[in-house]
Amino acid sequence: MKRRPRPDKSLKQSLPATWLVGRKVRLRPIEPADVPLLQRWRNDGPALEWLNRQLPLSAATVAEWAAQASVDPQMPAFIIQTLGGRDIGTAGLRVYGARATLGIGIYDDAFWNRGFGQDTVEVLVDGAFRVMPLQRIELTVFPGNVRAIRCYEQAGFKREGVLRGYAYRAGRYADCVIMSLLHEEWERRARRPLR
Amino acid sequence: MGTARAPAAAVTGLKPRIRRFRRADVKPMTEGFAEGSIAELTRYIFPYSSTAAFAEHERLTRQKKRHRFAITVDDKLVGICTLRPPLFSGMELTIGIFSERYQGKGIGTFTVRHVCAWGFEKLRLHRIELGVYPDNIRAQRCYLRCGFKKEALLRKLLYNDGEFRDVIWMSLLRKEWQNVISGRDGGRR
Repeated sequence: MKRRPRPDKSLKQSLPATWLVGRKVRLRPIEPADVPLLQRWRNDGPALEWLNRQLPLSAATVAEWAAQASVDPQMPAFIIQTLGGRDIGTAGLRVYGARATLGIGIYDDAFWNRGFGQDTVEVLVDGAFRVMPLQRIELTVFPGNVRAIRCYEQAGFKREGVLRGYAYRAGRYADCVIMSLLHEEWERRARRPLR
Repeated sequence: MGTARAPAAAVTGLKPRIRRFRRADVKPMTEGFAEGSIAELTRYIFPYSSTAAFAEHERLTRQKKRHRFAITVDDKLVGICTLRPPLFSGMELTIGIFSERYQGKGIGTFTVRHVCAWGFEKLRLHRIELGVYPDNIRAQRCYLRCGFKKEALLRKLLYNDGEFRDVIWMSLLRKEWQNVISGRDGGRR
């Protein structure tokens, strides 16, 4: 009888451990060695168009952010990895009491339009509601970022309105769509199995 | 900033004035909140000691992040209004008029208009935002009169009176405010 091939354990063991694992991505902690990669992502690339603040950041600024994000329980942040172990972006939360804001960026556009973003948002939201006593998770997105809005809707977020003149970018004030997902809505959605 | 006097004073007989908040206002403000009459419209907080009140006053004065104004009638403190760092963008306006005696008499509208003008002129703000409970119709009418527009319903935003409550979010942009004061938005409100 032919045996089924075993999953590649050596690969799994070589990746940083995390239980935040979805169908397509795993969210791993940010480490000091990630700073050059984070700076490159943040300062140049296809995702820059949709970031709120567009000025290039110094290595020191990125290092400071990474250092805080890796220890501060009020701003959990992670590197998005494919299940195969390739780093493709970042995702994280900022917690203000019972409310948290979500941010995500996939900086490698080879991984756009393929469900990696939606999987990331679902894994992060699920993890957040399991771990923290949150009532709502909210996010802001520029109205022109249709791909992102669709991704958030599929992950269960509902549109609450448009914040006018939210950010100054490209020489003028731009509006922003605000969306949220409530704890009770998350509870109604099918829970993802823990890995 | 000097004091401002309400133009509508003759209608109600009340002469509200707006001036910068000062140390002498701490005690009447603390009492105004402790009485609880506006807790439902703002937030329930435990009544706090004068020690805590003055410590908070010193802290806010040192920080210089919040601009606080006193609303007075006949030199009596009847409410406060602040511009503080925003939830989203620009600055956030808060206002409270403690006693029912002074509510529904145009004092709020007068104050909001005055403080917005101050923020746009002195702080060069591009946007002033605020939150209001959906059932607080009187406040919403006041803000609409001042030119604010509803832009979002933030669900379960904050905890008050035993539950997480929705909040209507409103904003006034600098360019709209300029239209309001120059009458280009269609005249009286």
